[in-house]
Amino acid sequence: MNRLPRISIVLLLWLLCTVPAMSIQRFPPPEFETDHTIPTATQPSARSVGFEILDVAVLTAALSLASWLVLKKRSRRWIVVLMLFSLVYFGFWRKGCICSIGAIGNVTLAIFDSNYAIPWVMLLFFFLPLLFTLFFGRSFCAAVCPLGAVQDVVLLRPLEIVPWLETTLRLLAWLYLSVAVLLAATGSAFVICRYDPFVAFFRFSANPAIWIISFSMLIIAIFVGRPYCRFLCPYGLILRQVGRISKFRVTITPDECIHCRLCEGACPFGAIEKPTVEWPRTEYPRGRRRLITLICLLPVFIAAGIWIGHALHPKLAANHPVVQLAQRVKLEQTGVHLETIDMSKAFYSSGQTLEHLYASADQVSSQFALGSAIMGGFLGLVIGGTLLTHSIFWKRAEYEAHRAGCVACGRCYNYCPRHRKWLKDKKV
Amino acid sequence: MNDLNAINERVSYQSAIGIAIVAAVFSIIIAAMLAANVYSMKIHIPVRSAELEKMKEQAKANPTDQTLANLILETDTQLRRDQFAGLYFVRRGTILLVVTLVLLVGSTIWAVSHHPKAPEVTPQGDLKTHQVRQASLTRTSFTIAVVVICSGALFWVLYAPQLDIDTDEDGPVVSLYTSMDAYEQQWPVFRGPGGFGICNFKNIPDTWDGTSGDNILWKTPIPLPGHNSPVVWDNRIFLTGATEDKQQVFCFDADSGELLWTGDVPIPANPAREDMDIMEDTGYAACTTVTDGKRVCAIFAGGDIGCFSFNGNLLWEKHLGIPDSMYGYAASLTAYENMVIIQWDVGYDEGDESKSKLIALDWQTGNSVWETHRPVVNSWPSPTVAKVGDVYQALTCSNPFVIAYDPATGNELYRAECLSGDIASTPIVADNKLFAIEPYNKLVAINTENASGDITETHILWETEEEMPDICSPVANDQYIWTLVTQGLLGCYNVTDGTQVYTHQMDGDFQASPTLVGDAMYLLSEKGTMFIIATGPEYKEIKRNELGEKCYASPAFGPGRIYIRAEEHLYAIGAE
Repeated sequence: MNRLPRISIVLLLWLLCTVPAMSIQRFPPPEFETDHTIPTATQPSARSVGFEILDVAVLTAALSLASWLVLKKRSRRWIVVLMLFSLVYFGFWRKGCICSIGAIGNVTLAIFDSNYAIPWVMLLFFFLPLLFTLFFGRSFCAAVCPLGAVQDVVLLRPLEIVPWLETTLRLLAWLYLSVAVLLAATGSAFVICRYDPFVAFFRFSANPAIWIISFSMLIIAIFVGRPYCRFLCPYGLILRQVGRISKFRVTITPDECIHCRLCEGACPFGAIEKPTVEWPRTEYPRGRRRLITLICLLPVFIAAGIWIGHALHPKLAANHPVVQLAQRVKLEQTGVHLETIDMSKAFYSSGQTLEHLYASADQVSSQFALGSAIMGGFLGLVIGGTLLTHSIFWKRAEYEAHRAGCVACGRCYNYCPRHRKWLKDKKV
Repeated sequence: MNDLNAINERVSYQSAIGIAIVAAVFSIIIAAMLAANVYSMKIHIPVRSAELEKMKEQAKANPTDQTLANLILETDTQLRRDQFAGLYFVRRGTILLVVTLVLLVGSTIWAVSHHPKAPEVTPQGDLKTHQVRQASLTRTSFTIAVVVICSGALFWVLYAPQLDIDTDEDGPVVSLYTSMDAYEQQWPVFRGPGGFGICNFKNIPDTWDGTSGDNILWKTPIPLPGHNSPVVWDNRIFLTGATEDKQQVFCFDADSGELLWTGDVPIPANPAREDMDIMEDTGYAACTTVTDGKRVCAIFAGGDIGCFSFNGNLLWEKHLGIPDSMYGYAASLTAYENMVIIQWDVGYDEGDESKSKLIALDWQTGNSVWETHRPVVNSWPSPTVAKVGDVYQALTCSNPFVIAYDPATGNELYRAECLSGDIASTPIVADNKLFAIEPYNKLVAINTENASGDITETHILWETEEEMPDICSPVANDQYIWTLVTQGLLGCYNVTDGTQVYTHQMDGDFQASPTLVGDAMYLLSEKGTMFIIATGPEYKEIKRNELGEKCYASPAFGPGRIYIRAEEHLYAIGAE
């Protein structure tokens, strides 16, 4: 049995060799006369309103059903069925777009750019899962998100990620969210969509770099439960924070915890929290000093974040197309690059002046200076806050699903003897 | 009952394993086929595409070759078929691959579900210590991660290369280009800086012998004929050659004479080319190239322009169309900062009807920076960009005007109506005077001080009506100006009033223009004899050196070097 996962990994690694085959080449039109009429280039028509309404209706229904399955029905089996449906509908049918995770970029741009009109469907896809999380916990992650579904179904041999590593790795998600928001706010790029790790599977098409990311993520997901959701997903990070204050939430046991400890190893996502005991008395004075020090250092973390963020702004600004163009043109003007590329050719033939281009790039750079400083300050706050959180003694009397970390997959239900009894009683 | 369950369980498990194996085998086969397809698409198709491009180039040179055209059509069609077949295969293969992978994962999950992991209850240790330790570990690892990320960020800020697009507080950023000072340190245009035929390099050799090889550093064959002169930038020498169906730029290594690269300037299919009237003496490559130290730009008789990087990549090409020129287009290119300047004097109409213009192209892109209409007929002199007083001017002469332009904008500064006939000599400036030659008839001196608008009546200082050259350009210092008639009549005139100082009949015919080197003047005859004479008020021959090969192009100079384009070879002359 143990050989199967190993064989799967080797196979998947080997399949990576075929990645270049997925990239599409394009041919210029022929230079000679043929009978073939080259079709006129047209823009694809917008998705009809009916289908947009259908998308929102399916999302709402799926969220409602997921919430009911998680909180009332308490059925892992039906959660899986809904998860597979979502995978097919939002993943393979809708090809990963429209997507609540990617909507972060659209919503951010809509906030910072008054010229950008965000589609109402996008707005609903962003806010509906938040609303449901506020009331029912992370039912979106449980059975509606196609990215979560892909990772969930390939999880064959989950390895335990120790809590300290889990917390540390989550820093990546904060970084990713911050950078993604900054780049979207400045109109540079929607990086969350661009680097969606599973869209390649949904569309059967991607560039080689994305295929490599996708296969790698899939291989990791065999051993690490939902790696993208836990350590990278920016939307998951937002849902985590909303989940902390949700009205209803997953409970391992339907009634009382009997401290049987059977559920301890049930969660492959490390989201089951054990009951705590009082810290040793000797630890209290030290803990208090640490807490006071960290509270005092919080402004320092924020200031350092602002400083580093500001220092990074020229690098981050280089992701903006105007800055990229200005840099390229400058390199061409200074003779570093003698060949022109499509981007610079288009600029030269546009009739715009260099001064105008450089001034525009300068303006974008100024936006990045402010945005990067805010981003740095925010990350400083997150770092300080995380250290503070792990310096406080949290009292817990029962085995609980972590309010933020639980993705409501329902795996723990069947481990609980009280749940089994509850099921039996229901049948009777 | 239990046995039956066990059998069912085993069958189910074995089915799952079987499906997983079949799915795995199919995945491998599909992946292998996709990999083979990758090889075909990424390796074979580009190679055949390159062959196709080569054939297309050949077809441009031989537009009437129907067999080649058919072969191109056939190859192109086949390449497209292969490409689209490959893409079809990729699409279908990817779908199949994903389906088999889904089967593989599904059946593996199915197999795994037959042996569910039973809940384990591990013995609990000291919870108090464990909690404290976990919290401590978390803080430590998190802090280490933060330090690593911050260090990485700082390293990125401090050490990663960054191109700043800063707007200077004093004003907007301006484009950077080769400065005029840099141009003046080299031999970048026809007759050197300003086109004046004055060499400021030291240790120029005065003795050599082409037959014995004495002081000949190297001698390299030139692949195609042409009458244009070499231009030199550091250790790179550029010249061009062309025939009716081929036009090329050549780059030579100044140290070894090795031909480093040959760049083809494409000839577009144009029926008017067949009617192009090129005089044999002019040829298809009469125009000298221009370089800015990063690129070299060349123009040919058919109005085709090609700009190459120093490593021989064609950066851009431009086609002005077949020029209406009586003897064939022959004006060399010049440069001003970020612009290549072309004197496009064509046609036979004057005034507003004229098709002539002065064109400035961007070195970088070949895009037009400015174009100024010129009210002149077709002519053959090269434009020059020279410092007149404190400002740079683009100087031109043609029939009937000598016109100066602002090289930055193309705006006309002043003009004098003083020439007629088939103008070929390039204008020069000395002692704040602009000198222009009307072939066979006269030398005109124009005062450039305070010149503006039409200066025909106000700024022409003097005109000397003597036998004047029809090809060679003059050369001057602050005292004298020398003119050289094709048949070898050398005339020396006073720059102040145009009085004749002396005339001397040289031994031979001349097409190359003379060059001043310090107190000596170098005159290269068609036979390949270089006369070195004194620049005093009397004719005095200092030395005479034979190259042993016919020469039509003006020589180029570098530090301690003379580069001579002879009929078939490029020579470097200098002390070993």
